[in-house]
Amino acid sequence: MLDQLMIKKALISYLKILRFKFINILQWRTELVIWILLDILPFSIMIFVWKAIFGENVEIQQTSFSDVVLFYFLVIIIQGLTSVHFEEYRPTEIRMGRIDFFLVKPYSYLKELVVNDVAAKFLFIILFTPVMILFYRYLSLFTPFSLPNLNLSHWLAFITLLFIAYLLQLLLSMLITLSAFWLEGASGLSHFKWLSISLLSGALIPLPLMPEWLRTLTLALPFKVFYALPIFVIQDATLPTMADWLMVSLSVITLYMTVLFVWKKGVKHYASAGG
Amino acid sequence: MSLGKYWHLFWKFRGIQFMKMTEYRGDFLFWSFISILWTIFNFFAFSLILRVSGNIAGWNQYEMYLLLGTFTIIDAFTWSFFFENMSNYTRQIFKGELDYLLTKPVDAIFLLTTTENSYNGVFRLIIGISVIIYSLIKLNISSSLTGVSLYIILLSSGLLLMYSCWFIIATLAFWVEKLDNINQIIPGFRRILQIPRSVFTGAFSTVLTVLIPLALIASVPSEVLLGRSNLIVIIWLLISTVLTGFAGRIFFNFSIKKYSSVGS
Repeated sequence: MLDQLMIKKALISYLKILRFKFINILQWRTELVIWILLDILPFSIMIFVWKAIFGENVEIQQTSFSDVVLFYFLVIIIQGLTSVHFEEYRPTEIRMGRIDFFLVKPYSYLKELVVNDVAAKFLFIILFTPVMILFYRYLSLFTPFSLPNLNLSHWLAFITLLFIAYLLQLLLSMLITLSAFWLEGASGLSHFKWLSISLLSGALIPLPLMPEWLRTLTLALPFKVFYALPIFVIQDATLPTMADWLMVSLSVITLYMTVLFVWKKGVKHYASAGG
Repeated sequence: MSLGKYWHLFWKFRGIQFMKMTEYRGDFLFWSFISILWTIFNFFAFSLILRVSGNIAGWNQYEMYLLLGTFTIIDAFTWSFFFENMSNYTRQIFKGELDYLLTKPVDAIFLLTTTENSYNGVFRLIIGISVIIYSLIKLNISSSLTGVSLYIILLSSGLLLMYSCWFIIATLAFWVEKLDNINQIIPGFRRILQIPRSVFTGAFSTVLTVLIPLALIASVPSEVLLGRSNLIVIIWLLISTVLTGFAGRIFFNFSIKKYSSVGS
């Protein structure tokens, strides 16, 4: 009974923090709109490139132009919903010794990183949804594309995969941020994160158009949860195998344990200037 | 101040930034490594597409590499020169610290757009030039001195056009409260530079080659080297550079009236 009460209390306080963070994030709404447009632009240009490549061809390597358009549409959605960027600026506060506040309060720095990003993600989704609906309408005029017959299990698997992808991105960003306890240019490590994800997650080009070695590598690594697996579910109506679920679950657990370990070690290493 | 003095000042700034770079050598090596990785990634991404199709809008593999080489040179300037100066410019507006520059006996726009730079893009620049030379050899094209000179002129013109567009957008900082990603807008359009202008069709073609001719920046110089240049497009690139440059200056002079400092 006491445990339930404590959990309820904790949940209410986190919801309050989330609400506060959401209100705080609202001041950056114009920035978020710019980010949305900048996220859409590169993939929209890729559609022009593929249109030029397909020309009069109906199919290339068993892939139609509509498949390619749907692929990039899904990449934009997945990127919008799961990408995390705080590792590009938050390491500075550790380097500058500005996290003392979190060390003396029953609200840890790790929770602050998560809650802040979740609040920003909520606002992002609110702004992102109408833009994507309009973009879908535009793409439909450009080229007709439709989803295969999907049932509830496909949608559930898709949402779960997106949630896991977001969780993994959060953990990776946290790990990079925490590396600032030791490294001067920790934020630069984010480039390795983006390079690995861009190269090995299946976001570059549709999987059937990839060279054999890259396709094999993509399917063998857990990075596939970021793009390849969710896209498979929607585009090919293929559910992930048990091995896939096991691999991504293990990745989450391993990363989570690593983050906790690095945090524990990092705090001991931390020094501030009396903030 | 005479043009010669400005030229001298320009290189003085480069010298100061070089001294800074030698002070933070580790930083320089780390960011140079990252810029090399992204450059390789760019080439790799397009090689995947070219593997499927063999060409993009009639540009074969090595013609595309030549275009990407030109883009890589532009990218080196984007991150090592434009981004550094524009970030400094908008930071000074948002912090109200612009008066330091406005009171100096040098043109404010010159100071705002040339003071900063990094050397992290040097390797990117070398890769870009090397890829262009390699592609020309593979294509069996021997460029004349006139062709190379025209290439350099058009590349410089494209860089100036991009810088002017960026300057206009950065000047919007006078009109908005705070917009941290204002300097990500023009880099966000870089993908347009990576592909031949002929890829764009319909209204997009009109917008990207006539109204805001970003699609010409890398395509037109590359076309000159490939010997498929179009005189009207070349003239339009040069005219639009001049027009955008003037528009940037007029907009800055208009916007500066809105500026208020923190009393420094």
